Amino acid sequence: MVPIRRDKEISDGKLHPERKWRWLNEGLFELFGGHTLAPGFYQGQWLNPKSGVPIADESRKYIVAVPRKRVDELRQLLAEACTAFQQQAIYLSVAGHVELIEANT
Amino acid sequence: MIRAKTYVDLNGREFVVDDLDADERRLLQNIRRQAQRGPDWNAFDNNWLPQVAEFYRRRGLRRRQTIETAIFQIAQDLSSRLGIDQGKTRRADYRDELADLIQARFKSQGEFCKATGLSTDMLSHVLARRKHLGIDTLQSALERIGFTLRIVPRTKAAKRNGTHASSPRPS
Repeated sequence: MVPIRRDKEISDGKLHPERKWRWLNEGLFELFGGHTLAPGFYQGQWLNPKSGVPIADESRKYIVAVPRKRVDELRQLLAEACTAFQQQAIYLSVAGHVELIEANT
Repeated sequence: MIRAKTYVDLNGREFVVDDLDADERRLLQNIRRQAQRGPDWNAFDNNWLPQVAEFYRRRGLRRRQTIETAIFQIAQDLSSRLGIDQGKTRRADYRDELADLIQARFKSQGEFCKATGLSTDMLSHVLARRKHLGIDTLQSALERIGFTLRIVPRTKAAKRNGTHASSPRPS
């Protein structure tokens, strides 16, 4: 799930410039041959574990077919996406198991 | 003089449509028709990408080579225009380019400021979209790190509340 706005706490809450979406699409295509976007946009809220503040966002939901042994490559791309999209974390669900991917430090 | 048909993307990059072969032009025409119908942004992305991927897979192109094709890039641009039309993304401006430049080539904003002579306070305001840099200041800062400003043609802005993607010029 990739929010359509930058994080308000670490950034300015503004929409991403279109080039960021292009970057993500190209990354997913190069690594995994493509993706599917779920219809519509997902309104959600998550609780920031550091601040305890609930954060509302609206996201695009990407569905990517990834062999089990290559999930780490997806995690790495999403860690880079955290920086590119200025997010504290990006929600990833692998076979029903939820992870929050943070930027590389 | 007859001018070749071109497509100019949101970032001013020009693609010569006349250089595409007949099958590529047909594929591009099909994708542009889909965009002109003003589909949902996500639905459009779900549609064009498999078409382009399969088209070039049959021609033996690797994924990176496919990404670099004019059709892939134009389709991405049409997608961007739809996303802008639908209020889900926006055009990049020089501040986005500055942020990308800092991220790609410098260890920190401080290092960038040291190299360009800009103050960290000013840069912080600019990147937070609270202030603008003067053109002279920006030009001078960029020159110190081997970059420059350039003027590129601006394509038609995406229509707000419109149902069609902007028509690239001329087609």
